[in-house]
Amino acid sequence: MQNQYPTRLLFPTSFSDACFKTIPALSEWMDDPNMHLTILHVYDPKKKKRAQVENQLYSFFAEADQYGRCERILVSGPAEESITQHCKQVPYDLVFVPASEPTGFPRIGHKSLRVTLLQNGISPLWTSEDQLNGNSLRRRPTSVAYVMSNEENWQDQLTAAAYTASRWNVPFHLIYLFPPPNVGDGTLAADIFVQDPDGPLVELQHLGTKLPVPVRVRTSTGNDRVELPRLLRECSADLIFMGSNLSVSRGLFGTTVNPIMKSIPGQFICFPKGYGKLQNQEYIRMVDQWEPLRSN
Amino acid sequence: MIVSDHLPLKRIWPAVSRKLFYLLLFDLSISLLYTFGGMKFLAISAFPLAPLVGALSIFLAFRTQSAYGRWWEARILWGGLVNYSRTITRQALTLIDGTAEGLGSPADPRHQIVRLQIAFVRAFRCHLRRQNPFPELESILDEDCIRRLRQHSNVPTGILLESGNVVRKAQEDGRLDSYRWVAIDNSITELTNIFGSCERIKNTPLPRQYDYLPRIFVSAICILLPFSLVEGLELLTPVASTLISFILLALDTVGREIESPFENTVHDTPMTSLSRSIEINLRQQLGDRRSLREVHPVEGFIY
Repeated sequence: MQNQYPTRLLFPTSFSDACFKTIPALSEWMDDPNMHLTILHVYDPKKKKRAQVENQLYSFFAEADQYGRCERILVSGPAEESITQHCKQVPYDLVFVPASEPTGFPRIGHKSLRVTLLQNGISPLWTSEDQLNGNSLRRRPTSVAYVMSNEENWQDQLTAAAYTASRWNVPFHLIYLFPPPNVGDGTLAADIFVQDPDGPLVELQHLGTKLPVPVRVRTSTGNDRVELPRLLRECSADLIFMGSNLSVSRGLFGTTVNPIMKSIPGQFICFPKGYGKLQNQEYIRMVDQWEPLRSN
Repeated sequence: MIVSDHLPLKRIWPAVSRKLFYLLLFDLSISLLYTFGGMKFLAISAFPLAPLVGALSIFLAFRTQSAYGRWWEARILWGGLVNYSRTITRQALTLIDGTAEGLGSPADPRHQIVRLQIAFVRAFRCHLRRQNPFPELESILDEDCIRRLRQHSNVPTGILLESGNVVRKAQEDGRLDSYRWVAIDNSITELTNIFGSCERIKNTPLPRQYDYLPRIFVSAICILLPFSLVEGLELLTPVASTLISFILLALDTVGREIESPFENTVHDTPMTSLSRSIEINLRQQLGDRRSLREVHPVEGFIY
């Protein structure tokens, strides 16, 4: 995804309502002749027959066949492992995984596919919690934001986000939250935020000249659960890029994606820890709808 | 659209589970306070539960009937779209003069009209689902036409205009007399009417009072239920109360969900399946040998 917007999309589906509601967002992404879509379904051969699942796979998001740039892959085995394995084998630019349908109850012991892909995968993850209303999924993004989180490869992440903003031709915002100041130890106001407060901004000025869109920087300090949604709302961001540090959070019932995503109705693209290790891998062959399904 | 014999409750469950959970806690606390806490005043045996639930049932049935009316009208309109798509294709192929060899050319007006009709059905579905139609149209329409259509905020109407222009051009070229032109134009007008009717259903919700009042009444009765039941059932109150609440909440939810047949839910009119059937028919009428796959139900739902 470096120096270009994502073009190779993977949509692992369980045929759930959440997957169905993701289709309008996918159709917006697919409105570009460079886009290629792979729809992946993993089934349990002990519970279902392959022919039956094949029919279902071809019937789900059937309109994708009209795109002419779509292939469908059927894999048998445990869902989470198979999807993770497939994502490691094939360097997709973006993996579409919406939030599961809310049950209304805490899911104790639930293992999140999104968290697994963010912790073990190499491809950025598209996700959204805006399932009930879904308005943000039915329109093209109007404002792109990148939430910077001091990761090693933040420049790659920023570049990818900027190229995506350029692709949609929309404003691009860089959001940075300074750590809360420790005012108890008598430090001076000049250096209460970070040791070198201007460091990232100076680097950003250098980088800004190479980006395809102007960067609008927005900063704040304080609690990220309060300040980040505020900053994102201020810039009306509806396509938000986040680093792996911010994407995952440890909660009472296990590790989950950051709850901030629930408070912002929009699309999120989260970079996994292994992002940037995609080079030197061969991309999968694309086939059209009349080709037979492949089995791994 | 649900085609499975049994209603999969887990699809309704997410909507009502949170409410039911809180109601269960509430019922349980009323039951415990009455049985072990000695708070006998919690029992309101004179509470007219039966007439209230009866009145609410009438209200819910009326609302569900109104919602079903919208859902069924949507299905009828899509049935009409199937019929008129076949009609306009037949008219294009039989009323416009031309040779069998010429039909294979993409520039032939007969070929153009059938392709535009396939594009119209695709764009119609996308418009109702508020989905971008262009990735689907690029494979069937030429670049110039796509460029013109991108100027339209209402793409299906733009496609009908393109169809009208193709028919007019055929008439100017002498391949169609005025009578046949009027016949084809009437079919295009019918398509406009069907499209407009679907937009009306999409853009005009059921009066909000039909949605708001049943929701309030259902919540009120669910809260009052344990007070009415606790004297007779004591510790079994949460079981009975939650069960009755579930029935009322499920009825309320189902009524609300079917009132919008174009909202990307499992209760939708199966537009993907219908548009695929239309496309298969039209391609076959055009003599296209490539076979498209039918759309089958997925886990008991057809989209």
